[in-house]
Amino acid sequence: MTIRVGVADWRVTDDDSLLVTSGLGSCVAVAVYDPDVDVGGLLHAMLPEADGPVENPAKYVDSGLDEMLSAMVRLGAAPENLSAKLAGGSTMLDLSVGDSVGARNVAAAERALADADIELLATETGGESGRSVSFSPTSGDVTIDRVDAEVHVI
Amino acid sequence: MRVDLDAVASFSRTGDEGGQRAADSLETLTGIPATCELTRTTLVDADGLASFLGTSSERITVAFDGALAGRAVLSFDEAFADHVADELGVGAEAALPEVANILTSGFVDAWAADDEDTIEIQPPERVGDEQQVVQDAAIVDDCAFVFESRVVLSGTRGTCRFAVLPDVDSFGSYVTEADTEFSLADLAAHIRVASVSADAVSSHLEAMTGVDATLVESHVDFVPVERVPSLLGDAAYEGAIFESEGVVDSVIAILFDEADPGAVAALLLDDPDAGSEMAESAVAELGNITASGFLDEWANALETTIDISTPSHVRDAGAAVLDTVAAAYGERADTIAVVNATIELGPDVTCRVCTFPSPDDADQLGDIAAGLADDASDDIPDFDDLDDAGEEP
Repeated sequence: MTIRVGVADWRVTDDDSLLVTSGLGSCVAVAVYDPDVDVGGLLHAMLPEADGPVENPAKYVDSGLDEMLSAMVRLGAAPENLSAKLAGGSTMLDLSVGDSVGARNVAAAERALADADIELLATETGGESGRSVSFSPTSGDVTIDRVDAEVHVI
Repeated sequence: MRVDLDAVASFSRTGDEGGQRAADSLETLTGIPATCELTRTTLVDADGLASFLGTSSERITVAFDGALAGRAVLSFDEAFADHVADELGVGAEAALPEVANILTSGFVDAWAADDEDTIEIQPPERVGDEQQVVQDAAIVDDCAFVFESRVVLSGTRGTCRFAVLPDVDSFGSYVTEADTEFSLADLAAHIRVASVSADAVSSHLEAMTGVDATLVESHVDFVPVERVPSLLGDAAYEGAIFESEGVVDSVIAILFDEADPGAVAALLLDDPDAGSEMAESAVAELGNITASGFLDEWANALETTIDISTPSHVRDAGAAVLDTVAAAYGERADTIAVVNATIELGPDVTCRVCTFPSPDDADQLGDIAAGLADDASDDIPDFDDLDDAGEEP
């Protein structure tokens, strides 16, 4: 089954479902999986770090990742077996507001994964174009699609 | 005029919670992961309400009464209708009323949650009389209030569009209980910002291209920032992004959904073999003239000026473009206003204009709305004056 992940949202699965999310501009998609038990999760976060408790943790990279990892452990993932891949964080527009959100999102994701001792296997970040991402937790493949570009797998 | 954006944001949040509860209820019923992709509190020009609600062969309405009264209008596309009918093991005839019932129950729960009162829902009915749905809508000063959610099911690209039209008296009582300073009339005046802007966009596009421009609809959304990308979806758009600076700072996205790539540039350039740089420049210039056209209307309402930046050309998924704008504002506000216009430019091009006034300038946007509403009322003959003029001394 294909499971859609919205913006400021995460979903986890323990079967052969594909987790997909689209419309990544400066947002980041963080794919995490435990290959031993085929448990995986995909987070689509909009902003780098939460400033204290928030209504929707998935809006932020750090609190969203915390929440998603807890859900993966409940499905049987072992924290010491987790690996991650990261996509998104583009700088499509040169706006005077929201200084470098894309780059800060990528940095926040790298920092949060390092803090959780999760190995970051591959990244496809930055640039000036948007992305759609699909993630297969059973293979670990993250497939990245762009307008006017060839599909790329990391 | 002061409309407290925080108060509007609280309705948007309640609507968003209602949309998510509705999706959760549907997931429980069908066993299929369901997501609420978009929830917005929308002000729609009363004349354009039927266009805004759209048409679908599968439409069901559910009336409700209590702490909040009104009706939900649920529009199912074919893929969604087929999918739930298959999953529930019954035909669409039986499945869709059941789904409408579940979604409406989930939605109204959020509105009754903080109230000792309850909200009762009536049995679902198929929409038979289009006009009746529109006539029942809450309309204040030619502005209709709509809470809209879009629910999607995993495994299909289908969507259920779930529009809640509150009864105007009931909604008025509900909002004044929540915030005694809140004025529905002041909020309703914002629709003038959308309609004046849309008219200006339409006339400037037509003048620049020489192609007939048809205004499809205009409205104002108040949206949680994380729902903003869903306003456009995954289709590719070409266009230009600007920032304005002045009495209201804003980000303006003028985006063209082309039947054929290059269709917009072809309207502007005589040479079909002009290079991509020339084509991008032409699209940016069209956006520039168009944006300046409606920003002048905003500035004139307050007898001031609004400056506009040089454009950034984009060709990308609409959702990714809006995602970038939403994230830029996301650290300053949870909910933002978006002024929308959709214009068809001939048979091959649709123009979407999304203007994001800075959440820091909500009061000034309210002042512009009041100024434009005053201008509009100046255009309407005063019947007392006419009567007086008709009397002999």
